[in-house]
Amino acid sequence: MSGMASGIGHAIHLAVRHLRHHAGRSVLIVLALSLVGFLPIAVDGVVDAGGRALRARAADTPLVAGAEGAPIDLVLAALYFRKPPDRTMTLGSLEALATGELATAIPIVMGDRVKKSPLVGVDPAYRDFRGLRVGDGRWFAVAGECVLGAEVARRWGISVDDRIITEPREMFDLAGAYPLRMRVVGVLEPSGSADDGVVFVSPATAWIVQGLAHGHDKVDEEADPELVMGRTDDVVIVSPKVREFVEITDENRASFHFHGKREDRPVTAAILVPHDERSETILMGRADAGLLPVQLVRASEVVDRLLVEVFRIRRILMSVLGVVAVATLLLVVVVLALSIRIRAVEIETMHLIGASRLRVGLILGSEVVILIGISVAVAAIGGIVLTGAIPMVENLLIG
Amino acid sequence: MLRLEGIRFDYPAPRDGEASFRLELPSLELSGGRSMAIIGPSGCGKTTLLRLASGILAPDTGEVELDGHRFDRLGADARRRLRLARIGIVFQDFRLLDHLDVIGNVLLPFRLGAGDLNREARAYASGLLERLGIGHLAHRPVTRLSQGERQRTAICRALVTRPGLVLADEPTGNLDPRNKRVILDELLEAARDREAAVLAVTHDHDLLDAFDEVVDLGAVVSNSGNEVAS
Repeated sequence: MSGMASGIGHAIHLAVRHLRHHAGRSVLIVLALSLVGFLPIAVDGVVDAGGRALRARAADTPLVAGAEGAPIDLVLAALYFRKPPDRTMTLGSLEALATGELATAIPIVMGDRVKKSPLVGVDPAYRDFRGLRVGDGRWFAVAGECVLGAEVARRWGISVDDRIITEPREMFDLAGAYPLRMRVVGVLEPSGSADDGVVFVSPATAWIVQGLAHGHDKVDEEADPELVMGRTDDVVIVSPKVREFVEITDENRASFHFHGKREDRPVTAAILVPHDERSETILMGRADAGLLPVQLVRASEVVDRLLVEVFRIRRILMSVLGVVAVATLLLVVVVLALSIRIRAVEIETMHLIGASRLRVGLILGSEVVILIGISVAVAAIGGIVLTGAIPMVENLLIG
Repeated sequence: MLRLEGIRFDYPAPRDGEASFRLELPSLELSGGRSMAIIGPSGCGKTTLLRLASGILAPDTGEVELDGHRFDRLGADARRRLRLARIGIVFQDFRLLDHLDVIGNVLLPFRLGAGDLNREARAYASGLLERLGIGHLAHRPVTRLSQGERQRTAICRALVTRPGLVLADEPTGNLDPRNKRVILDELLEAARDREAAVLAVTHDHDLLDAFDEVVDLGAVVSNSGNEVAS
């Protein structure tokens, strides 16, 4: 080993021994330096990545329709199944929107949950539009069946043929809709999107859960007379003995029926896929002119407006972090300077034994380099971990 | 062999109007394997003499020679290198590095550039530890040693490079009376075995009989700057 290399080796050896001897102080300095390096990079990188993820899903979603209200609420509901807007549009108004063959409308019916995960009513067009693939089982075919997002299935440990039950809508409303027990018929492959975190059902199932349709014992002319307490031309008064079905089976499926008009059924949001640019222009022109019965927005524009605010906050945060970083670095410099003063006897001893200033400087410098090196490594590991947490960042960004 | 001849060294006055300090030493010789105690009142220049002998200071006039190397003709860096390679130093307060264990402290001169830290050097260091009865403590942190064990460790560190000269500044100053004689004897014997000269400053007159020579610096030097007693 050459003299210089040997000198560096000995310096590193002594530096490591010293840092290990003062492990508590070393760890604190590493943590401080790691945070100083990690936070700004993490904030910058994660917000960028989150922004890209948000934009990507928004860019894949041309137009979003829904009831009048805050566009951001509508888009976040349609894209990320966040809390649905307070107002809904009707199926009739949605169908009127698509009249004229300008666009394909993909309805999304929300409002209920299963174990805190959103229950989303969609038709097969949504599956095809998002390119979702069933990894295990099949897509739902009839009311009462559901398909789980990959993350939901993993979290619950549930697979095909298991049963799940919706959360009660109104805990204290005895006359309200009952929770519905549903059969899991499929689990989606992971998509790395919000689709992984929801339970998909048909719109009809979603409406049943909302109480717009139900099934019960027959109360028609042939039914058990004890079940009917009174009857007029318009109204049948039934006994409490009539069973309300809480699960749709092959035996009782035929008994499920809607009350009210089909076109009045609520739709939370709808993805509109215009057939061409001209169709999109016409639709947006009608929306801008107030000629449509619903609100129509470009998802990417709404997300861009949200991100403008997010990036503005990022700039402020980065400025604050910059000040914190400078203050922390100064503190670390002070700690190291004080440490050298405290070690004056040790340093003098090395000089008296015959160590050169360069050699002593190499030892002290090695300590600093090791601390910085470990800090950079810790910050890098933190960055890698955070990179895997982009979906969580999306959640943070969209609330 | 250490030889100082016609040494004069002036410390400037600390403040205007105060007396400056001058050390004048006509002659001092110490051959390998021999030991010399330097005694004298405080302020007579004992520590300055050690610093001149170690090359930390260079005399204004006179010759300082160690094993044929003339310190007075060398620059500061060359004197430092010579000190690292040819001189061992034992301090009154041991001056061990707390973050190193016993063997780590003993091998410190090699890590500071005294030479190759090879298998032979490690074996020599282990032999020194055994010789001074602390071989079983080789990997113990020095913070968990007794005062006597600490000074034995410091002696091993001073001898590990096989120096021609060991300088000791009050080597027994921090030791209890029972340990003083034992450790001084161990230092002198270990140095004698290795043909190293020992130049030690001490205030402890009870230990002077252990040395081959005793020089009362107060009697042989002038520190007034005006006269030299011989």
